[in-house]
Amino acid sequence: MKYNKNIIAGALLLLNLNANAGLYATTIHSRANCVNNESITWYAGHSYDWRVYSFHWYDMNNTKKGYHVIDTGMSRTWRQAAVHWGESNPGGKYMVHGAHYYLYLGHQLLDNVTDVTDCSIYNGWWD
Amino acid sequence: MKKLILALGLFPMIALSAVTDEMQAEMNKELIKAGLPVPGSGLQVVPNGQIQVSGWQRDKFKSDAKEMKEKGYIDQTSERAYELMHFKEQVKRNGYSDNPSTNEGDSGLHRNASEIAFSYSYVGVPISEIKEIYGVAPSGAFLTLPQKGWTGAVVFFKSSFANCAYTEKNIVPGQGGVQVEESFSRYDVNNKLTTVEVEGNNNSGFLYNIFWFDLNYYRQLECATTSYSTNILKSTIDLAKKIDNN
Repeated sequence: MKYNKNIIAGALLLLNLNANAGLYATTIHSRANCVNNESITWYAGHSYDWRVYSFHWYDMNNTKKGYHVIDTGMSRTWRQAAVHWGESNPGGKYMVHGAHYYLYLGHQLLDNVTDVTDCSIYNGWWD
Repeated sequence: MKKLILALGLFPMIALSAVTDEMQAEMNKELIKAGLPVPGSGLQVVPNGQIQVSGWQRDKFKSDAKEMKEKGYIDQTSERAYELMHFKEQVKRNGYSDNPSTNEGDSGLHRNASEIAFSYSYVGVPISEIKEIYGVAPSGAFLTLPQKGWTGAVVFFKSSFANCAYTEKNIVPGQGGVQVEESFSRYDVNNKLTTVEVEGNNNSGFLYNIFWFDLNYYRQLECATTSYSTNILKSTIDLAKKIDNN
């Protein structure tokens, strides 16, 4: 039964991904406890040099338990995704913090960071 | 009563999920080790070569800078220039989003910015500088606090000299960070830290790309034309100044 729930949750997640791509500009988000834990930068069909650092804190209620990091490295793509597939399910305790970097000629910048504790595609800042 | 219970139930979730200074310090160690700007590090002009990029990227920095100096532009096909010059046709093909971008699920193109929820007071391009507007779309992150909405937007429009796209990103206090290498740093736009890049060729058209920064906003103005001229670059910078003063 748990297996079926994961399949349904995964299917819903994939549907949601398609709906939320940056279609006319670069968008950034993180999601936590969403089958995956992830931080993603994207702009459909437009490739740029991007790097995403996604910090996955194991327990939002006890950060002493630590975290692990997914670093995409800097590469040219239209979708830079730091994803840990199947790391946590809805209701899990993870907190995800995404740092989204852009590299242009002679400069690099950090966009707003994205801190989340649930599966909604917002945020942003606090969740 | 139900609303009160709901509100009380939500509050701890918001409070618990905030990143503490201790957590941020831990994460910053990783980012600094990777040579990246950390949240809240502001605007930095750094020595040439300090931005850590792979070998081929460093070589490209050098060759692009050389071409900018010698020709005034980087001689390469610009897909973005072509896209902007033909943006009106794209809008005719794809149309506009029927849903207002008042939630995280819609990043489509809208007729104007009033159809988008912002997390800050959207500024945009002065109306006097827009000959025709092609559309506005969300950019950045969708925040829930302190105000529910997007952190930025791009507006596609026709100016007096070119088709342009202006992207505005509001930086949440204590979050952004910009590093510009010394040889690329300029102050063309109202004495704010600026970078200028022009790319293109006669097949694709030319893209005039201006970035400028302050502690509250990252701004980018891209204008596209069929040919290269220093006058068009000047017009693009002048337009950036007017946008900045808006």
